[in-house]
Amino acid sequence: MIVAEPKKIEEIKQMTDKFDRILMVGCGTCTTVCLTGGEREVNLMATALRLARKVEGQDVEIGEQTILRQCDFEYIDELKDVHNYQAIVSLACGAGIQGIARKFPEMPVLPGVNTKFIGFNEEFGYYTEQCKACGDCILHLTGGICPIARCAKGLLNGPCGGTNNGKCEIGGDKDCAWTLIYNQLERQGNLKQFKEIIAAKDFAKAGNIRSMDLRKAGD
Amino acid sequence: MSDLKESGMSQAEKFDKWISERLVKPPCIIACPVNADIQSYVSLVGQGRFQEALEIVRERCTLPASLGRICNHPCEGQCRRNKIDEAVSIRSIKRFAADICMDLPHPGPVPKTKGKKVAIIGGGPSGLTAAYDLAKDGFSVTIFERNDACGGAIYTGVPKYRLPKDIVAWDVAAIQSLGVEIKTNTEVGKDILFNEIIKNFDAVLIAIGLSVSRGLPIPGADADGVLLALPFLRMVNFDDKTTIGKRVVVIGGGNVATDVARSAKRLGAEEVKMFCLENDTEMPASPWEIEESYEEGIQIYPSWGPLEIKVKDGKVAGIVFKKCLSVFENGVFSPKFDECELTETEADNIIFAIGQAADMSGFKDTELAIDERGRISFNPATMQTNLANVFACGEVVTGPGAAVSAMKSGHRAATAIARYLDTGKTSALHIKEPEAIGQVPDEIVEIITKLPRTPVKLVDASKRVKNFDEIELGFDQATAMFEARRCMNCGSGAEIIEEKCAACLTCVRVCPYGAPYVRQARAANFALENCQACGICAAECPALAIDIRHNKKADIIGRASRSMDGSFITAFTCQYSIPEILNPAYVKTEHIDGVNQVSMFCNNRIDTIHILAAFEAGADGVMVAACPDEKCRHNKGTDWPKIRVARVKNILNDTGIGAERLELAKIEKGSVEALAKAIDEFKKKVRELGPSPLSRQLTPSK
Repeated sequence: MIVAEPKKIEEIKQMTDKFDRILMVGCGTCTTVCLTGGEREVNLMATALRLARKVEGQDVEIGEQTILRQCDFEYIDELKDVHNYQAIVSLACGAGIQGIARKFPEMPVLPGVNTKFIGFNEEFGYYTEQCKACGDCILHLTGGICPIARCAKGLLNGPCGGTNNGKCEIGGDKDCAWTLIYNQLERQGNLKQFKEIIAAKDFAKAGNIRSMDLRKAGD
Repeated sequence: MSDLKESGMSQAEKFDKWISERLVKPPCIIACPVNADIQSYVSLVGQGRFQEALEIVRERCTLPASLGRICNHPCEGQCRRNKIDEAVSIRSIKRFAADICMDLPHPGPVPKTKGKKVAIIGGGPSGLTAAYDLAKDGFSVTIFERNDACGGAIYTGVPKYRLPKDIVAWDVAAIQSLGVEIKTNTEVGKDILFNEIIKNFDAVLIAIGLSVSRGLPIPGADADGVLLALPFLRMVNFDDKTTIGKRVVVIGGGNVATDVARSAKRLGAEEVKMFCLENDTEMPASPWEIEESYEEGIQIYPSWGPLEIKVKDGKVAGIVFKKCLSVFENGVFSPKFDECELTETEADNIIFAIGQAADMSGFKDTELAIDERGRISFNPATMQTNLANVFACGEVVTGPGAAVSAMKSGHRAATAIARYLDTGKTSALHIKEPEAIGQVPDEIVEIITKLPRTPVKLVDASKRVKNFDEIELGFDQATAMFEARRCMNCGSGAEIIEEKCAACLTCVRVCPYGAPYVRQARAANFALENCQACGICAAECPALAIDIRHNKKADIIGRASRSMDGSFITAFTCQYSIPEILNPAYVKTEHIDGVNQVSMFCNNRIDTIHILAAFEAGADGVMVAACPDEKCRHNKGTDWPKIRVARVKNILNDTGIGAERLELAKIEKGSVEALAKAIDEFKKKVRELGPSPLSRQLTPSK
């Protein structure tokens, strides 16, 4: 899932300062699941923004709508009366926000959340990054634990000298990914894998302006 | 059922709709013969909304004050709290709701819109119940009652120590206030003829009960000093000069027998013995009646049948019993005796309390069909007799039973009559037997907070046998509210709006009771048996796909954002920690002393959105009053109000309203003083802060 965090009201307020009619749009998929962009959050943020504006004596009309996904035009089409508003605040991930922006090119579309990472839902309200979307997966070599996303240095062959009783030298309670990898391979009786040097990855695959076209698979 | 009040449907239609549409049926409601909306009225008492509670009781239990005293309360036997600790004291809560409203005006007349007249012969529980329903439906109802007041067996039979007469009179007056005409001292067959009634009314309901006591044709049964239960109880109830011998033997093992025995004791009998055919586990008397009888010194001898009454000089001298080996064979009354094992006891009076029959004398030489055993020819599916417009209900057709069962029969008869008069046709009544929610699973029982049942206090046995004063002391307000709050609101918790569910698993993760579970890749499955209606899931669901059936979001927001009307603080008070201080009896509005109180079932239900709604409505300050951590009823849920208040505080800072205007107060459970103090301090603080920037905008004059 894509994990995002709510923006501060103050920031959203500044972004929307010059608009009197704002549509706040939630996304029913990733940001709902990570508790930052679903119908509840839309309601809460809209109320908060309305209050912030009222405190300054300004009236604002804020519409609230939540659609299943903002990264599909067909769902975006379900938004109603969009042109009654002057701006849209989207509580979807960056992809969703841009989906809305493409659909309504004449309108300012503003981010209501900061998209953070591709993550795992550890427990209620707690998420950890698991994947950098590097485009060249090596999880089969590393016991199902990604060193690119979970080692502070992204080392392909670890651990480094900063490993400390299973924790990373960067502090906190962050696990050392390479200790996790070692333990996992040992459990699988596959420590010889650990001795194999992983060759430098082609990070070009993680480059910008990426796209994917499954339609070309038959060519 | 309260939400159906304004619908304009008939009593029966409202009830059918309510019971069939209710997704999860609490076992108390299913066990109740009249299916009273127990959960709702118990909940309202818990919130201090007594008058509303009474209105809901009366919808189905038409004699609330009386039944609050004498109902055999099958609801409590099925209460799911029995598996946790003990049943909620439902009967006493009902009694409290009626008692505290006794000085209020009665409901008042219902317009007679139907233009049709119904006569009800007999003003006992079944007849009165039918009268209530029919009057509410707009029929013109007249009750013909042969006694000087209505109430039937609960008026003439049930002794005053269990049910004072003024209580019955209050219940009857409420029904009368609907516009029901009651003709007392009017015996059918003597003061008015049945045929005359048929001629003058569109429908007639026979609800005459079983007013004749049966005796036994054993030797000596005609001796001086042999009495029958019902005439004896009538004397006890209405003739202060009634006396009794020193040694009294009561024959019978039901509640009438205990009424007789305990009344005899109160009349001054030194020795009261009860003999019955049944063994001690089969005795039909309610367990509490037997227990209280023992406490009062009544001696009970099960498994004996009367053989012969010893007579001396024409007066009772004693009685001989034979051993009863068994009473029933394949469920049929067929007692077997050992004629060799006898016992004899001396007695001055023998009172038979072995059964009752109907007095059909008023229907002699009429077209009403009566079978060879003296019973009305009756179709239970249509509640009709052989005459199309003559119906029957209550014990005269059902046989002896509890008052509440007679009331059920009264409701059915009213339904049948209303359909007949509305459509001109009769149709078989649908008898619904809905299934109640299952028991609380064992593993959940362990984590549910134990809250011992409040005992119902009785006057000490040595004192109570000296007179006929009422022996049961009702609950006071605090006790009634505490007891009501023990209700687990079975099946009234989480409600999923499936099309909104994002399958995010939040509910699965936050529920302390394991109610939501994952099945076939869907998260929104709820084991309602587990749900304790704490509301945590609803307040966290990011898709707003969960509501709490008995604590709906719309209702909370409505109360949180209603006009402040002179208030400047909104207080979300947890029902489990906050007693009645802000909510005195009869006061429907919760605006008191500058505080808009929003009573929550549990403040784990408090939602960030609710708090902001209060500020948006113009509150200068908002207090969330919750139980102290260690006392939270949902003991895995104590942090939730804290987390949500913290989130809103951040928002308040960001919006310029200021975090200091929101406060979480942990109130010592049950302490009125602690709440009052916390509110006073918060008021003072908010006064010093002045009006919130928001309320200044709303009301510039502030």
